[in-house]
Amino acid sequence: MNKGRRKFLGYLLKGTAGSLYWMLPLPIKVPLQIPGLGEEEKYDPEAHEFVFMVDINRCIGCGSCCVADKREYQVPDGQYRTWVERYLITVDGEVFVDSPKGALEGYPEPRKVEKPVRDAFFVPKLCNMCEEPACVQVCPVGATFKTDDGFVLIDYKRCIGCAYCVQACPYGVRYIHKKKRTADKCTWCYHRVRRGLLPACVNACPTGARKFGDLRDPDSEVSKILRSSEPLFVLKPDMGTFPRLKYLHLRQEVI
Amino acid sequence: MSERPNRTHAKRIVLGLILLIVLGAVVRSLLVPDDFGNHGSLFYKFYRKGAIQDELSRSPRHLTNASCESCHPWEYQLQSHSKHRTLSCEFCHGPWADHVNAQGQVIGALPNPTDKQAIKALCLRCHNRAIRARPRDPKVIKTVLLPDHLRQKHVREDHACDQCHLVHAPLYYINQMKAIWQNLLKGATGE
Ligand code: SF4
Ligand code: SF4
Repeated sequence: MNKGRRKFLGYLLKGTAGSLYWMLPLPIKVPLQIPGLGEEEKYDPEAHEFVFMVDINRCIGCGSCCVADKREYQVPDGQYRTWVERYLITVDGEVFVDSPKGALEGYPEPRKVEKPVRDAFFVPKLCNMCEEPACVQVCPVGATFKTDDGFVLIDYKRCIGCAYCVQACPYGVRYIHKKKRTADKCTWCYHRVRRGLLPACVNACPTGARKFGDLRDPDSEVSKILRSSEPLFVLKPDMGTFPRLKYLHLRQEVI
Repeated sequence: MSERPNRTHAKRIVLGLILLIVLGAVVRSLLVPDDFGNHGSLFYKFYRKGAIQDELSRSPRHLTNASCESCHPWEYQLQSHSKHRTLSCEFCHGPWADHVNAQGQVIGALPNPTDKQAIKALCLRCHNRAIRARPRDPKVIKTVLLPDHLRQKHVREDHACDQCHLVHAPLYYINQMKAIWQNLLKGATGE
């Protein structure tokens, strides 16, 4: 009898906790941007494999993505979760890279280079969501971790702000948040994706240079690209971090 | 018969070690939350389970263009059928969360950039040929060199872009003008 009651109470508790867990509030009902997400009763992280793709040939350096990102997270001035770099390659192979204000204001001025330019393009940068993340390996308190659906996230309550991860990340995407005094970085908008919305930067990109989707969904744009003959690259493959962020039409000069 | 060796120092060391271990265990149990542990593989998945909940409890500050439609159907219709259909409303006008709260009540007005300099800056973010973006191939977007474009179209150089191009549907007026012109020509030759 007593045992039964305890069991029942246990189920009750688990039940309420469970329903809290899966109710993700949105201000209004909007058509979902990622099919099959957001409304699921039970979300199974193992059944999804999210990837981000950036098409260098389509990026025009407008910086809409950076503006959306700053507003979505109210990132302090001078710190960037994502930014866009401008590459200029001269005919004799010299490379010039710049990113004024992380392209928050776009690129209002052309860059003056003495020599004739062979190629010019923009490279958006963000967290690579590595399969073997260096940032997780070095964290002394277990404040940064990998989820089952492939996101590398930060536990802001556990982070002690020691900045080991900031120096461990080969892509320089981490920083110590000025106000929170903890590590911070791009999360691929985990809170939006789980509600069925695209990451804020993907939603803002006017040219489709940024793409996001689920590889397990055969109809998603990313899995179609993966199955096509489009050339896909990752940044710094020799670091052994196996990034999930893939670049289309990347040039070898990009680091 | 030998004397029993004095082991006091050894006992103290062992006692000290035990005390240290107990103290360490107590401190650890106080500092480490219950749901902290191994969720998944041994590597990379050692974390506090509630951290995922914390991340999910962020409310999206941007929504989608479709979410603007219910209150701004005219602008939405115009924009979603024009060349500017891939632009996010919130890029020029600011995030949804500054305008409507979680209960759907309007809490503030979003900026509506109209002055010449603001319009020019917004348009040139994408359409400035001088910054030499690569997208010629594939053709992604139409770019212009600014003073040249105005001169070619025979308008004054202090013209703002929105004097010819409706910002939500850039070719709207221009296509209308073309149609009227065609009709006029037809009328002229018909007589
Ligand atoms: S890019 Fe850096 S911060 Fe992101 S998962 Fe890889 S190592 Fe960690
Ligand atoms: S919004 Fe798209 S096109 Fe504009 S800078 Fe970002 S990635 Fe490039």
